[in-house]
Amino acid sequence: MTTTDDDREAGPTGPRGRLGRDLTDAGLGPAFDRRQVIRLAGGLGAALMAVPGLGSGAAQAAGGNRMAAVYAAIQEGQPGGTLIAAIPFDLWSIYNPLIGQSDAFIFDQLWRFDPNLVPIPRLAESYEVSEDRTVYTIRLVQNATWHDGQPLTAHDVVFTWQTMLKPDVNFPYKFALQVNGQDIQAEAVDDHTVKLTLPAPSAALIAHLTAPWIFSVAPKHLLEGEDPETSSFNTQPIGSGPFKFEEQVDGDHQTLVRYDAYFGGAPLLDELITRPITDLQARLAAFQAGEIDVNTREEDVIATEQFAATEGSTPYILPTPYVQQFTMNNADPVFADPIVRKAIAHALDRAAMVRTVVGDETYVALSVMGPGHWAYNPDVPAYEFDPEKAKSMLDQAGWAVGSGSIREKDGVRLSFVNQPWRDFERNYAPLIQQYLKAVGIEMKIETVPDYATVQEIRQSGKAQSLFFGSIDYEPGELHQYFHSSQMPPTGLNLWQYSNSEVDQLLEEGNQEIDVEKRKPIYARIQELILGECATIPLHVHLNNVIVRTDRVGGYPEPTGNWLGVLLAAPTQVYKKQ
Amino acid sequence: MEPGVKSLLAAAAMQRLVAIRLLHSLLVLLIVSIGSFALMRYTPGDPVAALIGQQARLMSPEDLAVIRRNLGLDDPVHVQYGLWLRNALQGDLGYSLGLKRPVTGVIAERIGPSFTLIGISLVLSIVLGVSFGVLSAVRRNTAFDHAVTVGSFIGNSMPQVWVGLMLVFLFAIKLRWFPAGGMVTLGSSGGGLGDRLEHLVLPVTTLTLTNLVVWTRYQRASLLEVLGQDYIRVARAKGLGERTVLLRHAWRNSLLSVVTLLGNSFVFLVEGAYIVETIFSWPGLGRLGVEAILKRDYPLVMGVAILSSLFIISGNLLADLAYGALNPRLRSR
Repeated sequence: MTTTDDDREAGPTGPRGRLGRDLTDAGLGPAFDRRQVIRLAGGLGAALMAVPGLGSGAAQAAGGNRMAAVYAAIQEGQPGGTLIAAIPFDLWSIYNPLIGQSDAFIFDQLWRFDPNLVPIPRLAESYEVSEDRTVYTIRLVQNATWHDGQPLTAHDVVFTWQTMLKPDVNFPYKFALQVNGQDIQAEAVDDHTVKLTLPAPSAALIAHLTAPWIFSVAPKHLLEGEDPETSSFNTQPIGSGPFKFEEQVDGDHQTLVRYDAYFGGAPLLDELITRPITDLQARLAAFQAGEIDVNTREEDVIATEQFAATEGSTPYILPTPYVQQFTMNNADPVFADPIVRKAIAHALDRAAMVRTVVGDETYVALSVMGPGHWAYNPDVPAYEFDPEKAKSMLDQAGWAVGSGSIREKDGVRLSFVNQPWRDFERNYAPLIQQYLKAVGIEMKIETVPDYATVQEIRQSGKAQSLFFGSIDYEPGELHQYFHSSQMPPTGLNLWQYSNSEVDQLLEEGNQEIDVEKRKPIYARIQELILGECATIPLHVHLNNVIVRTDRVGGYPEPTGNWLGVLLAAPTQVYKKQ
Repeated sequence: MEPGVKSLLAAAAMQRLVAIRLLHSLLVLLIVSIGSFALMRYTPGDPVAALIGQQARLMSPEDLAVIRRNLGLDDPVHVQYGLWLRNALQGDLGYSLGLKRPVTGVIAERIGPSFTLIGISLVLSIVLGVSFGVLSAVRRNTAFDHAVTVGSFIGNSMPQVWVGLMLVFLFAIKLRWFPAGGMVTLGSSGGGLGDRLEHLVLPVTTLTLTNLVVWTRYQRASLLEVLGQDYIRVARAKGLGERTVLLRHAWRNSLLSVVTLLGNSFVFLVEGAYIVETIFSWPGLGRLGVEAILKRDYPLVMGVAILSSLFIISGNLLADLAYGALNPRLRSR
């Protein structure tokens, strides 16, 4: 039994399923209907609907009506109540943005992602960029305050920025506050204006600053002169977000309470309690026993439907921009020939694989990012399932069937190793093995116990094939994964992909800040990467939420992203009284 | 020999036993610490890589290298161990890399919940197990005895995970008598003593059921063996009451082999606690330890390893002492 962050027990075992039917038999409520599962394959834009309690008509309205629906929910909502949410991994033990330990409830960010991952104003009311794109002037809201009543000013932002960049401060995302390894300078122009001076233009800057785990503003008046590793602030954090920290019992729960003076409007809830329950069966039991109002971040349809069988609950299946992929090491003699990679793609019945592993083939991925992202390009080369074609491609390229029915060419056998570690990887691996065996390719499976182990193998650059995922929120991330300057052991281009046109486009994309001009750049990058079959997309990562809609209202859909936030609009959720 | 001298000698022998055992324990602890330290360091992966974690959040290799250097992870392993040992001897187990708090503080928080579970379960297992065992032996071949034998056989064959999940299904989901997990009801309604006890019922039952049967079987077998001995027949022939024979002569002697179970029981409970803590999302040491290993949180792993060995060593020490106290032959030697 594993208890890692995203790891989960697979398989429909345990005391579930029957409950829904039993309750129906007892006349207590309707059985779970698959149609209730709101399928939002269209991505996050369309995903942002279905405010419970508004009736099915409104719930099916298009994304354009979202604000109206949320507004109606707020009007309907009563202040008060305690919401209990479950997450499948342990919480931070301490809170201090200066060392990368923050959230979107206690702390606040300059911007926040909208459902399409476009940054929208939060603490930053507006900003201007200089002609040469190297000076950002950011104007902060006037009425934001810390939970101790002190005003939040530009000096807090500058203090946070400068401390994070100090070499002896263990802030793990320094790269986000730099361009090409050089620090971005921050200074306070006045109490509510911050000026950032960049060594060179950076397209990803605003997106990085929007991710709550990267740049949450820390209070200067409480942290100046403190050691961020050991400060007493860490266990009694004072933030400026919509909720105040109340208490945390490690491994058990965290309690946040409403911050009445929040500049964006106080939340409706009195309390927001989060329970980290790492084991799937335990989480399911707690949900079925009615101890949980909202269960978050289930990664597949199979588990989600198990939860949704509980009476009074509504599942939301939320695709993210993150795509799980199967990738081959381009530097390995086995995969150096693109024909081999393409043949492997043709040999895999990805629809069947995704149906087995995720529970629904709707979520088969086409590209290296999910359909919800603005940079997504669906018109990339697809490799349909066709084992005969795979065989003839290999035959023509001179890979003849040799001993043990394994193909070989010039002394190289078409045999490689894969190290799956997460549950979904362990589920994929034997399927891939079978499909490849059918066309004369051998994949050996060496299961590894945990992330740290697999990371060491991968970072050595010697992993032959691996499962990996991209991207969180910013297409500029592709630079780290596909630019030829990012080779292991230091870089993250673990499949050692190299293409000078892609390199050039990635650099352009990182400097162009106009989204409309960036779109064609990333569209072309996706086309080239998939054209060479540098990676095989498997499924769109899901971030499903199951809500007890009989008890919780105003739930406007969480953004389906790895943002570490439980709710997109935490101030609007309420408990039905 | 004078009775006074005899008891003095016995006391000295006992002290010597305790002293030797304590010395052994310290040696074992040292070996455990070296073993765990080496094992962790030579396991692939490092804590900074685990920082990226399963979230797979983007970080730059340069930033990670800086953190690795700041944390002293670039130093040679023996230097790191020396530093750890020196601090540990002064009672400082270091800073958890993942939780960013002193290891002693983190462990202190988790000891309470774990020991509550283990302590209650140990007492219940011994009291109930010994009682069932004695009754079963005394009423040998009665319906009660058969029921206990079959019951303990079944109990012994059921995996703890399964027992836990079944109890949750039955008592938390179907009947709604007890909560499915956690230590207290969260929100304004929970937190009282009654509420805490309610949360204890299912995890303690799970942990006790599987442990209890071992005590029952041991006690039954041991008492039956003693009851067949000649001196019991002699005691009965002397005309002693059945109660005196049973309690003073038979049961006391049968305990000699039962107490040795104490050491094993501690190991069993520490293992079992992890499973139970996971099923009932109980914030105990077992879960903390596993989490620490997965995150390569070296100082925390060391802390939990040392504490667990300390616990198991004291279980064995306790068993030894109880054995010494019960066995006159060992006392006078």
